[in-house]
Order: sequence, then structure tokens, then C-alpha cells
Amino acid sequence: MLSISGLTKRHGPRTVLSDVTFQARPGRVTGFLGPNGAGKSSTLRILLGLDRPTAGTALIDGRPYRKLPDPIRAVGSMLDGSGAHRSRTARNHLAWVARAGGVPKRRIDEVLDQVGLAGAGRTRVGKFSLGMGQRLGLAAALLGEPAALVLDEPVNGLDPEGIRWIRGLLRGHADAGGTVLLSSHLMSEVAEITDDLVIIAGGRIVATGPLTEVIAGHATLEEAFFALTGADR
Amino acid sequence: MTTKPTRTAAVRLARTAAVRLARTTAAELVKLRGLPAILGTALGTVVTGAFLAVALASSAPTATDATDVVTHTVLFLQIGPILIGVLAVATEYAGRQIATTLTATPNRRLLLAGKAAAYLIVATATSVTTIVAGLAAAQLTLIARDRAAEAREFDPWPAAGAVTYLVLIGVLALALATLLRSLIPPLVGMLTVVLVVSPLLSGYTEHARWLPDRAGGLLYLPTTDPVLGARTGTIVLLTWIALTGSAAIAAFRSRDA
Ligand SMILES: Nc1ncnc2c1ncn2[C@@H]1O[C@H](COP(=O)(O)OP(=O)(O)OP(=O)(O)O)[C@@H](O)[C@H]1O
Ligand SMILES: [Mg+2]
Repeated sequence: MLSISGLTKRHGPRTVLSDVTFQARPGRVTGFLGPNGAGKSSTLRILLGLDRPTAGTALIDGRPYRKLPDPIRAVGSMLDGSGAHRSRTARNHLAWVARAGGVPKRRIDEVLDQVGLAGAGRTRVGKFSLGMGQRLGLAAALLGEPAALVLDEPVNGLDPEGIRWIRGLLRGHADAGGTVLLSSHLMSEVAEITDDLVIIAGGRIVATGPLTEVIAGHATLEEAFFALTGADR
Repeated sequence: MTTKPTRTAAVRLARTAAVRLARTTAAELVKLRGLPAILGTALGTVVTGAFLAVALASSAPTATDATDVVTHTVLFLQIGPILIGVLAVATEYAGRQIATTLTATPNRRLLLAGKAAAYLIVATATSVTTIVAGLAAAQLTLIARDRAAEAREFDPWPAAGAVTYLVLIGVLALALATLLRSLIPPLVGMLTVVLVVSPLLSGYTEHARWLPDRAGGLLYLPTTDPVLGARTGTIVLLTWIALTGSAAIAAFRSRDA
């Protein structure tokens, strides 16, 4: 379980997160929804131990990310795009991540195959399209066969086939007992795949709960989103 | 009674730490190998070393000693390890690879130790090959010119000092790049100090001897300074590294990725 509790983050005088609290549970896909600049990436970066919170905690099964003994085997993550230097090949990128994370080498071919990059292992990342970069980022997230997946805007740049594929992947992961937390500002995407919703606006959580509960009283998720975030005013 | 389990626990802890450092170093080596710019720099340094040695040995009218020739090429060769040190860090911040790195190895100190170890392995291999290639090229050129000095005892220390200097000046570059987390500022900064400031300043003031490259240069040109020697010069260079390195470690550990 991913537990975010009382998270506050300030950059100088700016408060970008205020008392953010929510959970992502095993066996469920949790959608983290909010307009641009709402604080989704800021929250996920703290969860992944990249940034430090001003206050509050973000725990993975009770432990902060930085204290996990083999982090990429517990949590697979992807933040904006491939996360690889453009001059290296896809295979080299996965090879060093595997080494660093204590993951056996055979996983490199397995994940390349799984994300549909089997033929592009020797291609340099700089030559990848947006969607291929995204697939490489996903491959790195899947490398350690983690129980939890934390993905920032995973459908960005994917073609319709890719979007359908990732939906199936995330659904399968949750159905097998895994935890999935994904952020998005695309309501239609989130409505299709999530069980639970967390809506953030202006650094504050404005709604959490099962999808059906959050949109209850609204015609669609889109209407619920605009009503809750005040984005259309 | 209680010492036995404590010792086993300590040994286990030390073993875990060693395994983690080995794993992180191996990952950093794979990372360096995957960068064409690093391979190109390493290869370019070796070729330049041999080329400069031939050029100098065939043109300098008084050149009779291969070691003498090679130590005079270090001024240019240091660009190689400086580039390797800066690139090893700067490439993390191009395209936000640093986020991938820190999610795989969240322990900042462990990561920096692995990065430094990988740099030391690559820079040492490059510098040893460069200096040996330079010595061979210079000696062959001198023999061809019939200028080689009478076969006397070969003194390996200036060559070893040159290798050590090359590796250490790149460590300083690595530390500076970690502090500045960028490519151009640390690269231009290092190259300006060693190629411009240091030669210019040494003409004006004797205090120039405290600059990292001047002091470290005594590792291979040991009799050129009245105040510092090879040992004290090395200590001065190591002090520069320690100061920059501590600032870099403190900054890297405290700031957001
Ligand atoms: N290092 C920083 N310094 C100052 N402000 C920052 C910093 N990082 C993020 N912010 C601010 O924090 C707010 C939240 O940003 P964040 O990237 O978390 O939003 P987001 O919900 O991921 O948006 P998007 O949908 O556009 O990705 C923004 O207003 C952003 O400008
Ligand atoms: Mg974002």
C-alpha cells in the first residue's frame, strides 16, 4: 500500500502541496487526477524519494522509498518520458538500471518484448519517438517485477494501440494483486481504467474515493472534475 | 558473551555495504560504457597522447628523453580526464536521467561512491594507456632520429606521477560538475583554470603554485618549485578535491533531485 499523509511542499514562498493525504491500495488502480500545475508530479517525486517534503510522509508498505532495500523491485516508476540519456541505446539504459537494482539480466529482453521495443534495443534513445520513449520508461518500471507501479502521465504520447495496451497491462497488474498509482490530466483515460480516484487542485486534495462515489451526482467524470477543481470558472 | 552476535551482525552489515558498492559501481560502469562521448574521449586522449609525443620528440631540438617528452604533453592531455569527469555527471542532468538513477539507487552517498569508483576505473585505464603509448611513441621517434639518450636506468616515477595527476584533476572536475549539475559551467571553469588562468597567473605571482593544477603538476615535474615538492603539491591538490568534494556531497544529499 502507498500511503501519503499530510504532505506539504514549499518552494521558497510558494506552497505547491498543502496537507495532501491519500492511499493507493493493492488490487486497485488509483487515478491521480488534476489540472496542469495541480501538484501531481510534485507528490509522486516525494513518494519516490526524489524530493523532500516540507512536512508529512509518503510510505510504501510503511517505509519511506529511500529506506527500501531493493527499491525498483518493490516500486516500478516512470516520470516524464524515458528517463534515459539520449545518446545511449535502449538496451544499455535497461542494462545499467538492472545492475543498479539487483535485477537479473534476462529481464532486459523480457521487458523490451513486453513493451513492444524488442526490435529497438540497439536504437539510441535520441532517435525514439515520444511514444517509444514512453515505452522505454515503462520497460524500466517493469524491470524489477515490482508489486507497485507509480506512473506520471503514462499515456502521454502513446498511440491508440499503445493506450489500449497499457490499460490492459495496468488492469492485469491490479487484478494480480498489485498496486497501481497513475497520474493524468486526461479524464477520459482515467475513467476507463481506474477503480479509485484522487483529485487534486491547487496543491490540495479535493476528492478521494471509488470512481463511482466521486462522480456520483455528476453526469460524467468530466463534469465532476470541473465541478470539483473549479477549472471551468 | 555478547560480542559474538554483534560481530557477526557487523560483518554482515559490512558485506552488504560492499555488495551494494560493487553493484552500484558496476551499474555506473555500464552507464559510462553506453555513452559514445566517454568512449570517444578515452580513445581520443590515447591517440592525442601518442601523436603529441611523436610531434614533440621529432621537433624539439634538445629532446633526448622519452619521459621528458611525455611529461610536457600532460598540459593538453588533462582535457581528457576533465571531460570524462564532467560528462559522467552532466549526462545525468540532460534528459532527467538523474530521476531514473536515484529511483534505482536512492542512497545518495552510495551513488556518489559508485560514480567516483567507476570514474577512477575508466580514468586510470585511460591515463595509463595514454602515458604508456606516449612513452613508446616518444622513444621510437627518438630512436628513429638517433637522439635517444644512452640507455640508463628508466625512472618510472615521473610517468606514474603523470598518470596520478591526470586521474586526480578529473576527480576535481567530477566533484565540480556534481556541485553545479551541468555541463558547460564546470567544463569551461576547469579548462579555464588549467589552460588559461594557471599559465597566465604563474607569470605574475608565485602564489599561482597553490592552484590545483600547478600544485598537482609537481607529481611529474617534481623539482620545479622552491616551496612545494611532489608530496606537498599532491596534498594541495587533494585539499582542493576534498573541499570541492565535500561541498558537492553536501549539496547532492540535501537538495531535491
Ligand atoms: N522546483 C520548483 N520550484 C518552484 N516551483 C515548482 C517547482 N517544481 C514545481 N513547482 C510548482 O509546483 C506546482 C505543481 O507542479 P507539478 O509539476 O507538481 O504539477 P502537475 O500536477 O504535475 O502538473 P502537469 O499536469 O502540468 O504535469 C506548479 O505550480 C509548479 O510551477
Ligand atoms: Mg506533472
